[in-house]
Amino acid sequence: MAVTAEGITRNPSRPPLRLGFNPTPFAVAAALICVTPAIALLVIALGGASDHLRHLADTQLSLYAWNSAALAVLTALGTVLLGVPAAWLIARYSFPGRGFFTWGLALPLAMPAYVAAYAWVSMTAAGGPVYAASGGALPTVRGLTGAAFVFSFAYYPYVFLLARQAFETHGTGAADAARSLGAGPFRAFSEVALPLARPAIMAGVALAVMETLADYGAVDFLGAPTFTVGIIRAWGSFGEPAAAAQLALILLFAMMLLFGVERAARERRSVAERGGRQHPPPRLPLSPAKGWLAFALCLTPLAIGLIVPGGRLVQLAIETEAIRVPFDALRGTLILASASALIAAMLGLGAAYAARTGGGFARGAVRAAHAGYAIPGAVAAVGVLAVLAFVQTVADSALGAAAPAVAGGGVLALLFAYQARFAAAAIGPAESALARISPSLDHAARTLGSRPGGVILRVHLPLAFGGIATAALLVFIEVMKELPATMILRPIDFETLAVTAHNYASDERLAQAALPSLMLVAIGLPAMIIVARLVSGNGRSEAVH
Amino acid sequence: MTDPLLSARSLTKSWHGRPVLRAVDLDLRKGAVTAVLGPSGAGKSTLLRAIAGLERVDSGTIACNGELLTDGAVRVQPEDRNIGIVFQDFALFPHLTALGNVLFGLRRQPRAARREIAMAKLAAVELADKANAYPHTLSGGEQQRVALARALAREPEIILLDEAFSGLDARLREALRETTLDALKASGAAVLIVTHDATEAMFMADELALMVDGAIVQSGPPAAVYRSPVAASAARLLGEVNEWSGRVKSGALATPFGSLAAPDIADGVLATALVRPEGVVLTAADRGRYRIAGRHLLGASTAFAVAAPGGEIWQARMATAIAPDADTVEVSLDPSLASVVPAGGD
Repeated sequence: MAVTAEGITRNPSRPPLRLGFNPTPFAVAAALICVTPAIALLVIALGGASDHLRHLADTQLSLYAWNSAALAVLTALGTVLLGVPAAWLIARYSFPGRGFFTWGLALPLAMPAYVAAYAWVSMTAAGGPVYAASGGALPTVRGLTGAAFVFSFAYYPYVFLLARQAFETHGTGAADAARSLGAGPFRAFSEVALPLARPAIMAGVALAVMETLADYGAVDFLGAPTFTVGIIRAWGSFGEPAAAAQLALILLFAMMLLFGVERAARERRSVAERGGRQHPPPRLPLSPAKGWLAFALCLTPLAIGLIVPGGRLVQLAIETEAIRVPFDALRGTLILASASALIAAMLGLGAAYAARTGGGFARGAVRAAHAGYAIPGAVAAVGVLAVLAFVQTVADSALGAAAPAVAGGGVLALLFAYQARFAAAAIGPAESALARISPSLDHAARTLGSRPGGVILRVHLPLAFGGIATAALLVFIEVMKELPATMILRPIDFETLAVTAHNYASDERLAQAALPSLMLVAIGLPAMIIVARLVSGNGRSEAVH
Repeated sequence: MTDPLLSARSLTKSWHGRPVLRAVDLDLRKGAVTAVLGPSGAGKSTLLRAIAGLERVDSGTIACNGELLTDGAVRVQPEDRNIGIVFQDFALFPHLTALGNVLFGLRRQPRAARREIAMAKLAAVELADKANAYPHTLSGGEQQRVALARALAREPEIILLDEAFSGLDARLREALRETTLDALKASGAAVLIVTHDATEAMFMADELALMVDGAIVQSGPPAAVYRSPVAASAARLLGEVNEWSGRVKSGALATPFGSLAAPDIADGVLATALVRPEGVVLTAADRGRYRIAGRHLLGASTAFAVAAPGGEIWQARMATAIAPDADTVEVSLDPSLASVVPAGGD
């Protein structure tokens, strides 16, 4: 028998080596991009008069607040009811179509909520096919309940994806243990698997509610105005930047609370999922009847969230005569989305290096940049305007009439606002891609003769490429769907698909809105399929020893 | 003995106020295997990584062939030292095949030559047929051998193995020890093995160093270190040992099981006798003074617990073929497997 001087094998966790360059500036840039708009908002909001806000308080403010709160609660309920059962079925049982649904159920994320809203209104309003078939018995998708319906089917994938992962990591194994201790299938789910997955579900719900509160297009179109509508009206119709900033701050505060919930849930999730088994137990087969029932249950959210509204758009686009293909808008969307994806990937990678090898300051900056998740597009846009106004004041006082006009937006301002909102979406995946690379690989490469730059090129980039490409794709999809920031900051003659669709829909010209909407989905869907498949395969196919 | 190829002198380092290395001296010689054995946290991995240039030390020097590699700060970067490492987790690049991993460090030669060298190294560890396999499809033992081939491919003057067998199961470990040792000896390099496994250290080492709390407490040929420990802590690292403390009287220490010579210790000084179980020799005796309190067959050897009249119990171990069958025995101590050291200190 071997004599060991220690009982357990030790796994040294050594700090990764610095890699020749200092990544702190990236982290600081990312943090500044996310934080300055919020600070500028604060300055403008506190500096401006509060007349308009007081006027709003008497009239619209309570409506905005009520709609926002009600939508948050209803969407939370809806996404849980749609996402959790499907996630459990897929993690626990085998049935027809299970493999497809694993990633397919995430696809409604490719359909902007406002586009789904156009499609559903055109079907359920007088003259639409659903209205005709039911003889007007089914209610039109409108108002608060209509918006809750649309959001639940648009954002349930957040809950689904996180819950499924949690169930697969621990839930199914724990449920088996519960069954062996005498619990029935229902008790095994409700008393063991569900509580284990609760942090993950909470995180998913927080994301869904954040998206709901950040939405502008759907609530505006469906007539359930929330804070985002208030911000855009204050800025646009009333020309009250201070009021817009004040409303934006209220919304930002709510978002930060949700962000806190999401982060806290994430922390607990990492605790709840620590240790334990790597391989979930085999899935339980279902009888054919139950199998097809499970199939139908999984198909429903996908059908209502993507297939039916998508089909309706195709139908509208085909039926509408003399339809104009919005080439300018397509070009605008592609330019903005790809530029943003590239910038976000670089910022994300740089910030991720800072989080990996940087000091406490760099890591703090990365954490601040993460909060960009919580900045809705409308808030980011108003914040960027505030920053630009401040820069203009400084430039004017310094240069006088020679100062260039920077205030008022433009493509660069738009890219700034997108990064404020979406850079965080790239930092997270880039960080986890780098975190999966063991520091001992750096050391191995160094002792095999690689310079620091060689380690990045020959080891890190090949290994992290998938994760960073996924992040870039996600940002691409998000920027393409983004509406309120684009509306506020775009130059007058700069069209995007989202803005074009919104403008038609606002004029109740849904048939005209169908084509740009459809183009959004058509571009977003393949990207979303790639992302969903990569995310779903995570930890299996990408398992690195 | 040849001159050392690499010499570390007075390496000192502390981490958050806790010393990790205390004035460590270590020599590595060409063609010889040096093993550093110590419990977890003894500082042995830090020592290895300092030699590789992956970690800085607070003070002390590391020199190779007369060239100064480290004096506190890292003077020569790890990629410029002619040192190969086999890491505890093997650190194979998951995006490269076994061949790709071995090729990683070969950049100077022309392409065809590189391939030939890499294939030869893989063949040397009996993995030529797995050249195109990715690390995650290889077993633990195969991964270890790829890591070894990768480290050897650049024909380094020095090879460092950091707990290179600890991730493997016991049987595989024993099988791999021999293959690894053969490959290391064939390379002619100076080898440093860092491990917490005493059997592994004694099996592989030409020179054994025991490390406790950041300091090397004893070093020398493995057999000498095993037979004549300089301190109880050093003795325990290499296996079971009977310990008995008492005062030296007329150049000897009397234990319940017999007296041991202590020529270097003054009379009246408190000293500890360290006796390996196989140094406690039992002879069957019908009315012997010592009682057998326990007996366990281990296969080729048998372990005994022997009780002295005063109640003290010592461990003994004898070849099963000659092990006494009686309930009482006489005991003699084999001085070549016992030593007396000053008590205390550890």
